[in-house]
Amino acid sequence: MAEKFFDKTTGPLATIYVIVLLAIIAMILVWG
Amino acid sequence: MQDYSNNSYQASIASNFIRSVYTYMFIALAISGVIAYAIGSNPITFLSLFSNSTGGLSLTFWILMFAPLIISFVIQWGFQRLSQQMLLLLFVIYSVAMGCTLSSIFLVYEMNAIAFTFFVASGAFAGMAVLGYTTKTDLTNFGSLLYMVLIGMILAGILNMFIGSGMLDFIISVIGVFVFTGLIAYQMQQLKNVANSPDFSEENRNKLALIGGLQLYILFINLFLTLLRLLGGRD
Repeated sequence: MAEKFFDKTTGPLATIYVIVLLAIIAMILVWG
Repeated sequence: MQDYSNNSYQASIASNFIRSVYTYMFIALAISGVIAYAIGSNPITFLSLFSNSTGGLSLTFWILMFAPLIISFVIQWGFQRLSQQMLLLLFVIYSVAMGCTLSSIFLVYEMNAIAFTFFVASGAFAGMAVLGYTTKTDLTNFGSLLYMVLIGMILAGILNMFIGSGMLDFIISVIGVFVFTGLIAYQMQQLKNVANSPDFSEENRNKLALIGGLQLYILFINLFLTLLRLLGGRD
């Protein structure tokens, strides 16, 4: 029943994009 | 009279659920915010924890960066098998790991820019959350579309790490602001549906409040970081 409301991929997808953003910031940090 | 008391009972369950969602979201934000500031506000602390001998970032930093992905899969796919305590533990680990990696923003962006962006993101979040909760329009199709755009943004973002195009980065960030503000409204409507549904047991409601809080938290962080890319004054 809960699956009807929560798509199981939403949390992981949003987390993947945060990781992409953090990786870009890490690249700025290391290489300027 | 009986109907009225039933309705008011249902309404109080619904408002308790939404309150729990926001409580979880603010707990996660507080944990991540305090840890990020504690580590990132002092470059020496950050470097002693997360730099390696060659001047790059240590393996610990990368593990902490990817840990939330694994945890989000475990929480979202296994919440019915996991106990509330185990979910709470994973939720706290997720927030701690996110706080550790978020500390890097303090070394890249000015404190004023971070504070300003945080207030802009908070305002946008509050506005979209209210819109999602109060709108009569069904946002289900809209939300599915936005998640497809998000997949495109992930691929374009990874591609751009190798290309390094400032223009592409700007375009992805602008689209990202619309996608995340839209997803916040969509997610809020989903949570309202759960809150008003009489079909969930109390245990499932507690678990779903935690997952809902985590989802709103991660959408907020996405919106905040995307705005920081645009307003942070780095590029």
